Amino acid sequence: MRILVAEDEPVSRRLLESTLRRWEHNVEAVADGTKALEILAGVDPPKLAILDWMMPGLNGAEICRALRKTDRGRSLYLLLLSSKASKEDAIECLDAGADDFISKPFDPAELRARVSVGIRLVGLRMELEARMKELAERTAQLQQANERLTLWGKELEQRNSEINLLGEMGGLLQSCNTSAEAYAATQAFARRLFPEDPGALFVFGESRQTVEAVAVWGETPPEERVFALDDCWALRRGRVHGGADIEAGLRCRHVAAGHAAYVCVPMTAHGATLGLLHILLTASDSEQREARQSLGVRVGEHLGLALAKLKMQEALQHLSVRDPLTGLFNRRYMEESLERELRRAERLGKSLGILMLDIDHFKRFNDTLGHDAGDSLLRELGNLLPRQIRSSDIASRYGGEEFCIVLPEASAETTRQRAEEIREAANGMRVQHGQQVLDAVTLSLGVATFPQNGRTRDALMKSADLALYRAKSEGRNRVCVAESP
Amino acid sequence: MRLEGDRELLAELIGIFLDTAPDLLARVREACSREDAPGLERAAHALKGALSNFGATEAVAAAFAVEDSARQGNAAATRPDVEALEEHLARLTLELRAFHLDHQA
Repeated sequence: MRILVAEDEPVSRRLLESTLRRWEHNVEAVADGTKALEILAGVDPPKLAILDWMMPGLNGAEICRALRKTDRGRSLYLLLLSSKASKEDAIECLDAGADDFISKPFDPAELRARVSVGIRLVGLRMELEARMKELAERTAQLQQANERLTLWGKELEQRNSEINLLGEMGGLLQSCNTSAEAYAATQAFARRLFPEDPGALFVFGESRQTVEAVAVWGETPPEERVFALDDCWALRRGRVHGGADIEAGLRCRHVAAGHAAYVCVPMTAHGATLGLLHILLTASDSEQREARQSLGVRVGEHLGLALAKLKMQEALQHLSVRDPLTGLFNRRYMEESLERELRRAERLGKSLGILMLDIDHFKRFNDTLGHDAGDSLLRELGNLLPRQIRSSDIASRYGGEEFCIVLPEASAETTRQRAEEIREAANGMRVQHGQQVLDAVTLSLGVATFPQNGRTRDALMKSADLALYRAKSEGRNRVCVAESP
Repeated sequence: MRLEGDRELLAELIGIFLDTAPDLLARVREACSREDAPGLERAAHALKGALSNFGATEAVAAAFAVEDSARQGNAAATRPDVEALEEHLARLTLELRAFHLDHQA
């Protein structure tokens, strides 16, 4: 044990020093109080000190007081040595901060006992300090662990809310009937899923050479709204493009140079690419960017499947309402629409026109030139009719060479005029069939109007049919208007 | 003796005492003649401490008397005590010197 002895009187100092050395302590002896304080307040001091009460410089009590003001000094064991042996002196010693005191001339047995008490106490204090330090470290570790846990909790919460949103979006997409509805739903949910990251949903245009934005979100959404397939690595390679690819210098041409991080997720379903989900990643933290990117990939997967399903639905819908040869609506769709439009006209007090038309001598045409030529003629008329009417009018192939057009809100006169225009346009129609140009054809048309020629679908169609029959019998290539029923 | 029979250490301590005691006594005398009570108390205290190690009860008592009077602030009144201390010290010094010479021989 290292022990400091501070005693000005040389005989006593020497005696203390030799006595303690005999007990195999490592003794450092000084002759005045100032020096003693210097050592005890210095770096790595002896933990136990025997200080004389009366010394030049500082006395023992003053050293005690000075040391006890500091944290390090408080851990030292201070034993005061005094020739005054009264009770008051003892109290003064302890008041000054001494741990114990011993009277001079000392009894070696007493000194030994008091020193060993001191050594035990120093040992306990050091152990306590070590434990406190350990405790402080453990507390700090615990605090760190707690902070990490809180962070994980927050992340978990975030993931959870993302999963809920994804689920909600999936549900809404399921109930969309058209692509346009799905795009609107995507835009609404993307705002909530990526509140900080702007982006856009792109789908292929008619040509399949370009994609165009159908939904955009964020305060500063992507600038490029239409671009070629070649401008995007994700579309070219058919795989997610982001993170490391961009850091390696592979930037898509459709992304402005200012955006350091982004992700392009190609939307594929059943092997076909439908479009692209593009998100600009604005988070400064790379882990957050990665989290956003993987969320983007999941959203892309969802959207791909939903859009593929819608496309299929739309194709089926088209098949079920269209006549495959002419591309016009089929009879069933026309009848349903007429029923609906009649109720609407009734409700709003509006008129509604229908016209029935028939290609004159189509049978003869078919017999002489063949069914293929007949089909070409029907197809050409299918192209012509929609160009002669408004987009809200419904042109349909009623059967064979007979067509029916519903004109919501049209008066008798307007319907008749429209019929006249169609007749004239058909006269000017030249149909190319293989190498030859087919002979011009004429049309007969019958016009009927709600409410004067009938209030129900059947009545109205019967009136129009009668008018058409009259046009035929009056010599064809003409328009006849129904007489009141 | 408190030195557990260590004659060598005893000889060393006596040597130190013989070397330092005259100086301490000189400080006692000087403080006394200057009537410097605090100085006298400190010097007498130191001398008493040194003496106490040799079990020199009478000399210690004499030194304590000087210290005690000085503490009460009466340096002049201690002159007889100082003289008594000198006598005790002279006698002890002779004894210790004899022991010292004997031991060294």
